[in-house]
Amino acid sequence: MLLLSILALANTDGTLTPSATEKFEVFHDISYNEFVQRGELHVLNDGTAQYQPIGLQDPPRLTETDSKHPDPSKYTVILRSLNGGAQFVLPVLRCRLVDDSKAEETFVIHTAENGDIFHIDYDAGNSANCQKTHGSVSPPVHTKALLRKRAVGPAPKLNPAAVIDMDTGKEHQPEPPKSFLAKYWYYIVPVVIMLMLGGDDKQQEAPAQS
Amino acid sequence: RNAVAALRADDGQIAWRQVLSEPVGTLLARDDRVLTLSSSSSDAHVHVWDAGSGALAWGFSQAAGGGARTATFVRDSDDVIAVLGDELVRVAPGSNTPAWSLALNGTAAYKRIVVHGKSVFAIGNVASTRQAKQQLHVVEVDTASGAVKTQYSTAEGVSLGGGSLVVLESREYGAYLVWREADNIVWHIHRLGMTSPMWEIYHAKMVEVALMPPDMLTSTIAELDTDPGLNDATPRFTLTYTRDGTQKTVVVEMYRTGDKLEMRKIASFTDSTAVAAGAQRTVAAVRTSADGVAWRVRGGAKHSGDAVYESSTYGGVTHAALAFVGSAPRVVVQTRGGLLAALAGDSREPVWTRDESLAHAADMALLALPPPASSAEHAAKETDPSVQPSAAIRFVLRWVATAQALVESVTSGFGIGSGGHGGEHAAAPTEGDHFGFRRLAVFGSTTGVVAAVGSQDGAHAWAHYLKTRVERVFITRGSQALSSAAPIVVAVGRTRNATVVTALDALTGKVVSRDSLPFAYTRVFELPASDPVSGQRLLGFAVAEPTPRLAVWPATAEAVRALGAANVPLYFELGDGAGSTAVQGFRAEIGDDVAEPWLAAQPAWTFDLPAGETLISTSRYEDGAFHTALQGRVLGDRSVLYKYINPHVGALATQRSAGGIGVYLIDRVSGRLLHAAEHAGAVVSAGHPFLATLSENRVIYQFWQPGVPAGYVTAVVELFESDQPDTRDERTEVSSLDLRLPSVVATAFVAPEAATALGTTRTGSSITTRDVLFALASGKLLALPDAMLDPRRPMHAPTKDEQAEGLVAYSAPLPLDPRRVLSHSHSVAGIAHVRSAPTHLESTSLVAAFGLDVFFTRTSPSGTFDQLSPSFSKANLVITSLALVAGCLLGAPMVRRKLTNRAWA
Repeated sequence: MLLLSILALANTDGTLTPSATEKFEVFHDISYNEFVQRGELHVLNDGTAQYQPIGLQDPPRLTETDSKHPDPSKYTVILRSLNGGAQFVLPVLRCRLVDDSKAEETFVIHTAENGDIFHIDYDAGNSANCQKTHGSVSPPVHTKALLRKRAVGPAPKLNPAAVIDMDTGKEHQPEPPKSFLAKYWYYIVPVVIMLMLGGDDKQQEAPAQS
Repeated sequence: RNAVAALRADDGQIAWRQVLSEPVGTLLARDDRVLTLSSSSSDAHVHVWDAGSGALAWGFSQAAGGGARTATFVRDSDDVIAVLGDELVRVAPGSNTPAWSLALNGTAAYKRIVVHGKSVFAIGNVASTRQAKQQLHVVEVDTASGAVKTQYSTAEGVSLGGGSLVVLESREYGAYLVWREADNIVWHIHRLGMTSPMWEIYHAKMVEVALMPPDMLTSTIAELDTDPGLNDATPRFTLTYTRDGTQKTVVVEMYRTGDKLEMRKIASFTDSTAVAAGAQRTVAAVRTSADGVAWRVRGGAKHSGDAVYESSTYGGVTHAALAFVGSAPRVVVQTRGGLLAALAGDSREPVWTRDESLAHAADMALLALPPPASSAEHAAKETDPSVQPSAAIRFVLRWVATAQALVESVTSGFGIGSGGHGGEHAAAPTEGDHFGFRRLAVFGSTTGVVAAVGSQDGAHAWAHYLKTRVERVFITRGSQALSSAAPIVVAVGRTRNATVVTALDALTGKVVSRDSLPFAYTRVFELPASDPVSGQRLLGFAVAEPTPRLAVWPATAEAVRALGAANVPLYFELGDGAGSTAVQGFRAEIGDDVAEPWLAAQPAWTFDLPAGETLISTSRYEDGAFHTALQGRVLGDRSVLYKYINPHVGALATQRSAGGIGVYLIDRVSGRLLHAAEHAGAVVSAGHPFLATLSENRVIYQFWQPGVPAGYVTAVVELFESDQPDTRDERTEVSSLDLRLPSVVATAFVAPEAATALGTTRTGSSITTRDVLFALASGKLLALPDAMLDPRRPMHAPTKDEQAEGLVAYSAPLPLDPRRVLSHSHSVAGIAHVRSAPTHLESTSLVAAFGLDVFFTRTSPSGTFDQLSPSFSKANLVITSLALVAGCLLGAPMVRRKLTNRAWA
């Protein structure tokens, strides 16, 4: 069974295919308060995240109760977990996407040490677009997904405790490293002697057989 | 507070002082011993000190959930009986375990212990219930064994400390409770331990004062001989009442005639604000008026006196103590604002004063004084007041003054000492110096006092009592040379539901304006605009209720318009206090309608802490701490690692329910998470606080790490634009709203000892390297160089490139090098804040540390590279220059002659 499981996870190159630990449906507030799904965000168990766009033919939409957002100046993206997890509402200034046909968006997913997602940041468009006085909002066309794991905080790297000799009051110095021969000579020497003695026996036995 | 000190009555100097780890709850002096009781959330500590030297005679500690409540000495013994948590214990000197302990009734809060004969009485308040009124519970215990003799409830309707009951201890007559019921004019007297009869009823005139029932019902009584050692025969108490609009305080003495307990009036005072008992049955009363303090001493010889005192400076008198220097009484008074003053004799001036309000300082601002102006500048200003203090005019005037001084010195002969400051106006307290060393440190204290102290000598310039606790102070208008506009310091305080903003003249302490704003603020900060009317920097108050908004001070339409004209986006956070689980960012919107002096705020972001975590503290850059002169770090191979400079970085520290702490660096404008780290074993508590400081691209924080080995860990997180050298963000304009994720380098060190505050030095242009400042619990102010806390220190012997970068090999312990202790041999107790300010010299920073003590110094982290050393001889320089000139003059004809001869040759 274990072997079958491993084989099932392996692709043709012989490497393991990462599996998704969390999947989100990504809904964009393209026109105000109308959330349309544009893709799926997969958090993989290899420490990465992937974004997969879906087709534009009649994409799923969120109901009003799921998507109500009070601020019309914000372009909002909603991540809805497919595993029953938390829903993330990610707003950015709508003006950042004005008349930007090459707008990029980035999801930064922050996870705890056990892989639980505790925070997601979202960035789309450019601040420079907010200088434009007219124009329509263009949804982002390029998507990046970054996964950042909460770091284990730094700890002091201490030297091993010093051992003081009670009699002399001096620190015990660690023994200098020994060579392989110095360390195992008492195994090697008998073996060598036995080999040497054993060779003589064969030569002596040969004339007796003949 | 957590300090115990003995002052000398004759000169007010501190005879000794002990600073404890926990706040002191009980202080009792008896003969040559001083008893203190202090407690943390989990432990209670009994300390007995030698009254003469302050040395610890002995101590005792015990785990006590409810803290330490009360304690007293056992008569004719060195033992102490105390209520620690819910236990009554008797402790002998030097013993680690109590002689006996008794679990008390948990329903009463025991606040008083009386030891009389072979009995100990523990007296506690029992809270009222639906079935029963408030009453006292008394437990009588055998002094020797701790066995309960009896316990009962008495004194229905009154409580300890309620103003209607006193405990009188008499060695001869026994211990008594004396009280008057809430709606009754008769007195009740109960002898402790006697339950039949429970009490006796005495007539209303028991204290020899005839009062109408309404006056009697509003009267209060208070113990006078709180230390029975002073008067253990006939204990006294005071009755204070108001009749015909005049407040009277009567001192009453208890005595006995046969079996009958009686009271007699022995002294009375009018309008006294504090009464104190002294030795030899003396009693002193103090009365405060608007401009003076009157004191009287009765019992034995009569003494009285008046002293000039403006209560607007440090508030009215709240407590008094009576001591004797020889046979002369000395009345020591404490004011509401925190001043201690000794009054004696016929002097209208206090014998000595001590400003202890600074021990309660919550904030401090440094006022830069203008450089000294020359006499020519002053003369020009007096002749023509329109002279503007522009740099060009001052430059010309200074040269004129120098020329005049030169002519005067030539005509009057070269007198010794005529040079130097001869041409300058005499230094005044309102003037600074050319290097910017001389400042005025303005403190705001929780006792309601704003006080200005000279940075050079610690001399008090002025103080003002504001009646409300002060939380922040700001310099809203700086000082300018020869300007008629006085510098302004603003003190921000709060009452129950209002914010009080008081503007004072920073040089004199005179109140310029006082506003009571109808909201409770959560945070106050300077806004990037000035009031066009007063020229003061605007202040912004983040207000959470009823709706999030940013209130502007001065609360005028002009101020809001000026803020709108500045066109700077304004962001602030709410929910960043301890215990919060989410921090919310807001953007203040400047609308067209400026009728209201506040800006509506729209939610910009929300940072929900991970499940199971609560906020401990939030840290930001101190003013200007993010400035840097170097955009990157030059590595050994001449490549550059660019710093991530973002003034909006904030550090959140969280307590995890599963144990340990989390540290989150966020952008306070966008709410984005820049870095997250966890310290699984870290512990943060009142005794082990989390401390952090931010400077340039570095966050330094310290916490307690238990285990083996246990210690205080100093973690350093440095943010770079990229982990690759010579790689940087090429955008010309950088916005917090654009995604910029830093690359993080972090390491940790072992702190030399517990710290109470962290900080970093600041210089004018941030060219000089910074020192990291550690205020240590031992009272030292330690400055460690930046390089010592470099997270790039290699774990091995540094390579050539690393040496070229200035890196030294990593070593976990941070050294407590005595040469780096800025406080030298001074012990600066209880430092809660460390602040730094630049001077006019790039090499030099000003450093202020304050808490229980105040300490001010200046430091040069990279040496005084821009100053001449004190040993530099200016005379030698002048002589050498003159000699060179003379040599040139003498040699020139010879050279000319030689050249001429060579040409003819």
